[in-house]
Amino acid sequence: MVLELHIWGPAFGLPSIDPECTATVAYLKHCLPEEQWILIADHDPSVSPNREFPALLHNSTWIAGFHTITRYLRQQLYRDIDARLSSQQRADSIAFSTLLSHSALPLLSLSLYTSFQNYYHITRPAFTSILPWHANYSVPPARREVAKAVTQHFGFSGLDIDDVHESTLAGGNTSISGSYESAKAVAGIPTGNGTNSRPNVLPLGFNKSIKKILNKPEYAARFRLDALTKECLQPLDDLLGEKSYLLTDGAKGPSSLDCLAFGYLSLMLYPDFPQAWLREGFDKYPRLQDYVHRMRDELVGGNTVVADVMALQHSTSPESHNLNLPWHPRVPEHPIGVAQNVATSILSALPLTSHFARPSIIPGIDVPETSTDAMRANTPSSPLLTPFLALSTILLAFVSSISYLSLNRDPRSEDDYVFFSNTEAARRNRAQSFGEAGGFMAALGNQMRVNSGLVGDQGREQERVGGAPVVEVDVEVREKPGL
Amino acid sequence: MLNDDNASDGVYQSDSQSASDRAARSSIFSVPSPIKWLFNSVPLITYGANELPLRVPRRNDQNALYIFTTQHGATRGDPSFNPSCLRWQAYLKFCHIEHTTVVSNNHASPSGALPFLLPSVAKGTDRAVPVPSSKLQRWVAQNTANVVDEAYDLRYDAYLSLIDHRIRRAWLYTLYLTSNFHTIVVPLYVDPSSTNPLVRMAIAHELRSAAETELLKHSVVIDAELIYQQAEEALIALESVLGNSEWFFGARAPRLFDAAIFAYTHLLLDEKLGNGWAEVRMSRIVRKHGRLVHHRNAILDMYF
Repeated sequence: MVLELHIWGPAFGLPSIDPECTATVAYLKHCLPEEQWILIADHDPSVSPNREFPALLHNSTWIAGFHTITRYLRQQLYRDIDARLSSQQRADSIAFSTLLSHSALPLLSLSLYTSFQNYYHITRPAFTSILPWHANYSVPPARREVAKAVTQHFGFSGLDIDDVHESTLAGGNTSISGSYESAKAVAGIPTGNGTNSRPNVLPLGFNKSIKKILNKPEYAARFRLDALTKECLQPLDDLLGEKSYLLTDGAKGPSSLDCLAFGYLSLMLYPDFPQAWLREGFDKYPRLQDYVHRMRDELVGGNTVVADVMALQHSTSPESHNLNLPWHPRVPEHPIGVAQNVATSILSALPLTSHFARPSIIPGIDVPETSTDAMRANTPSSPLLTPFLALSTILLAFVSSISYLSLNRDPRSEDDYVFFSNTEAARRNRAQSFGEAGGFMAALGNQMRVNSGLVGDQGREQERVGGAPVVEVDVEVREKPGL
Repeated sequence: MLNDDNASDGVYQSDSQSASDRAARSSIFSVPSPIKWLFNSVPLITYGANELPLRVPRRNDQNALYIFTTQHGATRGDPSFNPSCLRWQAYLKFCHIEHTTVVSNNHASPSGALPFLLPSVAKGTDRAVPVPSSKLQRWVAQNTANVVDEAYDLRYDAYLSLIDHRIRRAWLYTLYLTSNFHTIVVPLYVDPSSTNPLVRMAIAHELRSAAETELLKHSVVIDAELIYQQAEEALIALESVLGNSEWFFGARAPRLFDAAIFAYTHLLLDEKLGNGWAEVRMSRIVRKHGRLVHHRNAILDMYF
């Protein structure tokens, strides 16, 4: 009886690109012996009951989410690394994990996904190396949409910036932190860190008052971001104090809160983003940084090399690799399964069908008294429900994509399907009227042309990013009134 | 012909006295004479302002807290049926600030959300500036001597997040997405808004989908089991931090934190809310935690 943990693949030297996945890996490594569980870098979360990783497979039961998994291990397998905590520490653990996930998740969403520069230069290439070709069209854009929905109420219009994207392409360096530092230099304020000497890009007049400068959207955003970062990290730093773990000290070992904190904080610390406001905010907490470095060695066994893990997929003997975690290759997908995955992701991205494709409420089963002990046996639908259903889905998706592409044919702007140039013409492309689905379809259309040998320069340009066929899907064109 | 000429001449002379006026007339910005004549013969009258409706409170020598409540409840100062209103209502009571409650809805609020406070004004001064809930704590600190001190506790924010996230999510789910919607939300929020069945349907639909959107922000699917479990864990943690003391974090008097937890526990334990709870799971979970029930009863007895 081996437990299978399915997660999003590794990135930035961490076991996973997702904070909860990393936290779950750390938890399992600490609470189960090495031979009792395996770790699989997966990409199709439709197997999971809540359609998200981490998902744990145990005796054909799927359990999803960090909290549900720790609960399941505690109740069904009697594995609990929090068993040594006092009842007060347990209460603290619950409280701080709630505070942490609700303050850190928006920050990570802003940093990894909403910020266009970071997404474009770091996050999406990281996904490219862990996802198969077809998932690259659906997974990162979908995650970005979710992240933007989560962070919409902050109103950081200055971060989700196609304008920055354009100016970057034009050769200017106008990241928020860069222009912020240079504005401070111009205003005669000593900059926080001397190493960060970016070129002075702002053509500031001498008679502009500092208040006027600081009221500009990008600095206002920066102040708010710093405040949010502080709101997230200060309580943890206070809680850590001089202890070796957040709740316990010394030989007692880490608790589940340490695993969760490592999952979130490591993604703030290790990725090297062009818009580095989150990491710069983190620099003010050296004690917490030491803690995260220490936790990486202790909880997940140090650096995870992405290439080694992904190489497993193609090798036959997993033992030949020297890995810190029990990585195993994913079971190769059946071609029909791949086709159905592609089909369902197309359908769920289309404006009309998406509504029916995603039932989103799982009603509770109200068992009177001690209902919480009853763990529901989640039996998710198999990817190949019935051959009929699979075939009809594929057919429907194919027909709709063909009709979309034929509808969208414009003899003047064939090249607009490749959005590398992100010009005004591309922005106005009719694909945008289809929203996310439009971007998806356009990418697919381009991939079709690539495959059929019709490509010109765009095909070669695609190869530029990391060898894998990456198509730039620009879904960032709609003006969101709320942002 | 001659008469006509004279007549036009007369009009001309009476209309414009000097040469400079004549020059002005020719510019495109001047008013053409037929229109000017029309406006002169139909003078514009400005009517006086309407009387304020009788239901508008005339006395503004008392602080008025605008909350979700019933007409009957407002006169008696009953607890609001909306958690965020009840939180501030209880906090004002803790700080011994005299106030009246006024029936209102979100459209009346300058910030778009209730509650807000219209402070009392002395005679002869300007109109009061409404205080939204986000600034209410600061307003209380500035305007009263017996402010409840919020001693800083390391764990304060963490435990507050349990209320603001886990318990609030369970509240949203159990109120809007279960059968409680028809027994509580419809009579309390939907029916007073309009008598038109179509409008009521639209409002009900809007409320439900807003709650659903809010819950979907944090997960791809809304898993009721998980929401209830997390709320129960939160209540266990809150009961544990309350310990055997009367108020949270060992305070001598109830504070904002007590108001925040009271806002949810009171409503979940109130059996007469709306037409009564149809889905009682969340209420049952709260009832299991005796010390929290005691905490709620103590506040209800002392302050309401």
